[in-house]
Amino acid sequence: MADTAAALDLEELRAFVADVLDVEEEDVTDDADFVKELGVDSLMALEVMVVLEKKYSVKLREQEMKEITCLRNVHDLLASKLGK
Amino acid sequence: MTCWPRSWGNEVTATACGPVDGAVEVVDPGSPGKRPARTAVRIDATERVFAGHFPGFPVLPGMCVVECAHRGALATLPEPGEAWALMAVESSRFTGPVLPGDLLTCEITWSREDGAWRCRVAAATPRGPAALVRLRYARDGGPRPAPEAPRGFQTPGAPSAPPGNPAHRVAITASALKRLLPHRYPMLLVDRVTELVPGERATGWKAVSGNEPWYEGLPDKATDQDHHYPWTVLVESWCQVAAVLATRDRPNPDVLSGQVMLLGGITDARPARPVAPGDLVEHRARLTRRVGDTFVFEGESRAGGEAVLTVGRMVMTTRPAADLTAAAPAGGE
Repeated sequence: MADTAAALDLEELRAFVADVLDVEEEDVTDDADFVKELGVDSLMALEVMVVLEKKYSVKLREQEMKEITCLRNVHDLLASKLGK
Repeated sequence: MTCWPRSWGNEVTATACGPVDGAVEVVDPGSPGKRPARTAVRIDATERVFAGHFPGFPVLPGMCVVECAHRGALATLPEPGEAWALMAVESSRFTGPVLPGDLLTCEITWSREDGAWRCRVAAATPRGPAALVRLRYARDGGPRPAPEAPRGFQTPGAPSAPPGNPAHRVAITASALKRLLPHRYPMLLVDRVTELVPGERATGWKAVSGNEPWYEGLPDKATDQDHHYPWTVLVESWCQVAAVLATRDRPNPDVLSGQVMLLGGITDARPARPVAPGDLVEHRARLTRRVGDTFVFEGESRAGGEAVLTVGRMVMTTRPAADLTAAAPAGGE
């Protein structure tokens, strides 16, 4: 339910993703590539997906996992989900 | 709110029991904020877990790597004292195998936060990184949140519970477990599975006994605290119930061929109260998500009607056995 979900804030999302990936917050720039620059593997990508679903009370489809490539894309993906 | 005096963790001494036989040595006690502490432990081929993890292909269980990180953390805690105990494995991620003969080193970076000590442990072998573990310690284990009510499970005694002694409910027996899991003594840590809903959840039992090998070296003067079940072994036991759920449709008890189930990581695992010989532990694992051959689980463990452990998230995946065997040094034992 949207009313129980956390509001989408880019800086909060940055801190949250940095925590899940166990990297420094400043390394998670808007466009830093999760795989190439932050060392994210398929397992971590799935973890990010699961924790985002829980935090924002959204359901992501398997193919949407491919969009989890950088913070900007994650933000846009969540924004489109929460906007519905 | 319940506080456990001298809870799990701080009682790990030279005589305390655990799944790792090798002694963790402090190489550099470090200095918080300046330089990390360093520890090392030689993982000999004689480590008892290797016999059952796995037969024909010895590889150190991920939770034993966490055990080494935990012991290194206790040995280098910047504020020594009796009262510090483990509050949580905030995260652990396994990135490379630890094999017989390896020198497992830990680089431990401490930080003080909200009255607790946290550390980030980078564990490595000469081949490269093995794991990244974050642990949290507080005095007396810190305040513990009231355990959440379990979801999706029948509470024993609830009106909807099936009649009869629940001990007689066996979904998967001991012999059937050996056809599903590659683990063997002393690392087959689930005795029976009592409920299994494919793709959803599983419940399994682990009867804790003073006859388990972890207790072998305990001297007669060992205290009750010294007999607390190693929590890393308890987490591994919970993971095996989850593994049954993951492998049920495609069992592979042979680790030398086909696909091998691997522990990817555990996040937010919290001890709630110590487990001791005589406890019957009920593990509950729920499948949160599956994508391809990667599974995400969550759950908890209970004993005597109380929560003993909660697991926020566990990731398990499969890899071709050849990838693992290729990591073993050529010509090695």
